[in-house]
Amino acid sequence: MRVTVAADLRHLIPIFLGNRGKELEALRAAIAVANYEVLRQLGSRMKGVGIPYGFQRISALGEHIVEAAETRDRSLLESAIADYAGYLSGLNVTYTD
Amino acid sequence: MSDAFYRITDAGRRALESRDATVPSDYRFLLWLIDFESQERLENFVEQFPGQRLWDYLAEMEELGLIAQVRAGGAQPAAAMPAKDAEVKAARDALSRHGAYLSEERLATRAPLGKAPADTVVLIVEDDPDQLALADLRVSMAGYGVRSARNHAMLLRSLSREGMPDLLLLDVMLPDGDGFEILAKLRWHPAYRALPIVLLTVKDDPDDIVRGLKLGADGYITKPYSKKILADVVRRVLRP
Repeated sequence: MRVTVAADLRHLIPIFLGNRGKELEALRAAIAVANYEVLRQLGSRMKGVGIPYGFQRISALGEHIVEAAETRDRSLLESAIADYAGYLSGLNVTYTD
Repeated sequence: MSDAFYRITDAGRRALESRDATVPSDYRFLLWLIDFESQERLENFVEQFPGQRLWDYLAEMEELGLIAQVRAGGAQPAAAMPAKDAEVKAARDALSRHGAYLSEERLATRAPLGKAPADTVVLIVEDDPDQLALADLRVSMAGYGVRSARNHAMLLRSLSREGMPDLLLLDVMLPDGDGFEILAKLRWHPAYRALPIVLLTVKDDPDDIVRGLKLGADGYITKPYSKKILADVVRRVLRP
């Protein structure tokens, strides 16, 4: 997945993506123990942070995770987390002015 | 642990407001905290006074007449201002369309700041490091000075030790505090009543909007926000 990000964010992106990797691990840990409140919080964070950095898909997935956590829909959560893992592993970031 | 609540006495206020170098900085900070937090339990906010030290300090200050114990349930924040239905509707519309809302009624009561952006300080309170880094970048690139705090305790330290900012951007959900409650305390305290405060939040529920406006927020920015929103809001609130 190719994502184009504003050039002025270039120095922040490695940290941002590192944090998303940690977030993915936290999501996996939370679903393993069915901790829906933590899943909701993590989804809320994804929703808030994706778009401002240029990663609309992260915000959209975060919104799905929030909704699925609120309804305790485990299969939707598993699907969203798998989508997130696939998205992060296939990212190709380019920068633009 | 103690259930004691304290209030600052007239002598304590004189010590707090004086430039007397003989007033220890720890006393000064505790006086400031007691003045700001009023009925809150101090142990929630004073990690830097571990164990018995806090209670030793408080006992000393009480003996010196700088503070006095009071019963719980005393003074409470003043009643919130009513939010008008029209304003709530305007806020909901603006947030859904632009991701930001500023209370024109509050802005109309503010004089222009009269400072150049470079001399202006925006204090950003945000616990998420990515959000904080981004907000810092956007506000800095707009030419403003930035201070930051990652939680409620750091906000209190920043206010007490670095002084009043020109604008506070306040995240609603902090790990050690609720932004609405912090806003209420700031509006209750005479020194912070006029401080421009904009809430940064993922909470776009109408009830949350009403709560923030009633408590005296100057505006809202909902996350996720677009590239220019933050700087635009800062510029509109501060009106150089």
